[in-house]
Amino acid sequence: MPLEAGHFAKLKAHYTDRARAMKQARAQGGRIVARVGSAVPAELILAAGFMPVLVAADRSRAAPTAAKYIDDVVPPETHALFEAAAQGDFDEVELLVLSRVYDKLYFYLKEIYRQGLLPGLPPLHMFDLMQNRRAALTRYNEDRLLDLRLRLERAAGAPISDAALREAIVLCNRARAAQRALLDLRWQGHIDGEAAMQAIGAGYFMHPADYAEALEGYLAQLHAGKGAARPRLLLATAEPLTHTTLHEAVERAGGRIVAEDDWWGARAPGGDVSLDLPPMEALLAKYCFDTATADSYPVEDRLAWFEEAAQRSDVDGVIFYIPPSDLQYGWDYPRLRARLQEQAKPFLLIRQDASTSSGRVHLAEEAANFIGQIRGSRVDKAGAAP
Amino acid sequence: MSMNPEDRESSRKRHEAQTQLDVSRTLRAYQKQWFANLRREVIEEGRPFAISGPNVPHEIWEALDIPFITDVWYTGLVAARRQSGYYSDFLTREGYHENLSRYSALTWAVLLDEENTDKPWGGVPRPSLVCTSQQDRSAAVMAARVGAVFVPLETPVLDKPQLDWWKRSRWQWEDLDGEHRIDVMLEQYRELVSASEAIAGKKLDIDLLREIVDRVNRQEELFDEVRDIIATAPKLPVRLGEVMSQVMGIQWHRGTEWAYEQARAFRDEVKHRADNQMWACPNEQYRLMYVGQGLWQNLGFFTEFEEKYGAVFVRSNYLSIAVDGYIRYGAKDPLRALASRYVTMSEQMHIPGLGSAWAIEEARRNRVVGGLSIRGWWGGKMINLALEEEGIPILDFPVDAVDGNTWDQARISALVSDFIENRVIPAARR
Ligand code: SF4
Ligand code: SF4
Repeated sequence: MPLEAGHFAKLKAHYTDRARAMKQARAQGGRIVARVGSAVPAELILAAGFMPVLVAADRSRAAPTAAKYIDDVVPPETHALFEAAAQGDFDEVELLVLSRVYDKLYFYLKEIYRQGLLPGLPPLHMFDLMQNRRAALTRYNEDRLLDLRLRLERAAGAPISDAALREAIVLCNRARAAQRALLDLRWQGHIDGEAAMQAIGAGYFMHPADYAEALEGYLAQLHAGKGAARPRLLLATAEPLTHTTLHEAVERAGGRIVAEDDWWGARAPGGDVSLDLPPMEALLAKYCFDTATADSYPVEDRLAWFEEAAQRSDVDGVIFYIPPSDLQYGWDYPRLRARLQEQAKPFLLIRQDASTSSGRVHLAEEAANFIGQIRGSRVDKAGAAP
Repeated sequence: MSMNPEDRESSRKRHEAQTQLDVSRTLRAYQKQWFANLRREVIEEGRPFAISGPNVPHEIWEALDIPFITDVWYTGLVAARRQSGYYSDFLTREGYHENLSRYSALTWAVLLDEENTDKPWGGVPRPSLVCTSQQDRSAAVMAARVGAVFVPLETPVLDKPQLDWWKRSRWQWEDLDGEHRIDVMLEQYRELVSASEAIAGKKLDIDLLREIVDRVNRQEELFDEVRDIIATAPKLPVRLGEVMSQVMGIQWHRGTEWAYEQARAFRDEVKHRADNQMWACPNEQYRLMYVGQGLWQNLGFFTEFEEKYGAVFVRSNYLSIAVDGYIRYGAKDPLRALASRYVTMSEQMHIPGLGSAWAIEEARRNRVVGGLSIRGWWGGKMINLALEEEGIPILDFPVDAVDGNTWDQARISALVSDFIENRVIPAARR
């Protein structure tokens, strides 16, 4: 099926070479605004006439500059993003908009720039949206969104029209709808976790119009027969999965990851931005209450999503990835684990850092054992030998 | 000063036994009494009780007469009793992995552990209300475990950091902290007030709150005098461990009459000692500072280096942030002054640029020739680099500030000795 290969190959290429779309846009005179984190509205950036590109941490790259300035207690993702700035990755960008969870990155970049050590760094904008339902925060959040809009209008040299904003919302919703369709097909077993991660993740780097087209094209070709019956696993992660290391390892060991509690995977699209509300109000609702981020989006909502997914009868087991750098998720883990134990749902805890080679070896072994156990217990239940 | 081995041994013993300040004794006696009363009121009389994180506006609870403790204060108590290793292990057994911060969580471990009855000062009663930063996930989880009302505080990011913050914090706080940031804290404090009023069964008296907010200002002014005396006296008049315990012991009660009076007695005693040339270590040679957090798990550790080198620790963040971080003058609305007091509290000591500028100022003020930086303080590397650039050598100290399990006496002694001999002494000679 050459067409499928074509669409998927395009998505995968953008997922792998993350600066590709940005470079192409620059070559054609496009203007770039970069988002750090998912909680920065791409719609506003598009409506202001810029191409929104997410900057992602590349953990495989050495980060000597970051190691000089940044402490080990600061998440490795921040180290990697700082290193990218230090290596000049953002020099082509007109504005770097950082979301709330990246406040430390903001402080480090600002200070090192002040010292004159990052002359190519674009202007920074801290978009401090508090993802929390409390009424006390509403006014602050409204003002932050308005501030971002004004900042983008200043950068563009023109106001954002309601028509342009509406158009951008429709476009981004189209991409979200395609992602949700992909997630459905994935639950039905039509697509592997690794491929799904690539197809979803590409959306953070491509122009939404190109992305929606490529993803829709891919999905249209995807109705082929189901894959072999493999244990279906849910992945919970303490750290954003900017890579497919875990998916590769688990799927090579014979499992299939059907969803992950992470904004790089199954939590990427969420619902649409409403077209029934005034656009700024709709964006606020979407980005405050329905946008998965590194660790802070309404935590109750996050845990509720996980528990619901874990309970599904078509989930055979859960893998928790809680590397040593975790400072938050581990507080919720014992409770989540207890719920799984009550439901007799098999689970595996991975504590080693999958970005190291010894961590990957450990991961592969643990995944193989875990999947073997699930297979074994299924056979027990069926009362038959394989 | 050279000593023969016997003298040295007796000197060491004297040091270990020695508490130099009277206020150290009165503080401890008061705290024990206060905590015993609190336990009785909560356990026997069923009074509602609150637990807070460190940067929470206690002043509100003071004004509503709600008994409370601060989680990190009690954690300090656990550490001082050398029980942090035990309770850290307890948390690990409960499933909370060992990389999670124990800083505030040890308090909860004491509360949850039902097996071991040997608890610091009898243990922590169950709270009705818990208030911490939203980022402190442990408190939210633990509050849910004990069925307490939880009020999280979301801290707005400091979007416009100003390097010389300590010069502006007293009078220019609206500009320094940003109106939008103060506003959002204020809105959240109104929620905290409602939740607290519900528990206290009475309304907040805003005039009483104003009095309390001002009393904190006056208490910090006394600390300002103490900092000045320590910085300008020919030699160190009081041991840093005693200063740290005193300052934090008072800070956790800030706003009360007792705290103000205790701060005054502390100031008087330090002044008396300086006036009478009563030095912590008469053989003082090298003045050192703590960067970042203090070594709570072993406050007496550095006495060894007084004897060996005449090296004294003269400065930590605790006294200095009390002086530079809390004072808010000219408030029309005391709740707004509180919002400003806490909106950047402690972050200004970490944030790159801000932390370094302050550390350099503090190093100069206190005439230090070296410093020790306990690992695990975010922003620490930037501060260390800045101090090193100023010619002040810094030891990057690889232990946890409170977790006794990371302590290895011989290795750590060797590390500090090496640092003093090879970095501090040569730097001081330059
Ligand atoms: S002389 Fe100073 S140190 Fe000695 S008892 Fe009096 S106040 Fe305390
Ligand atoms: S000079 Fe210092 S170290 Fe020596 S005995 Fe006196 S206080 Fe102790």
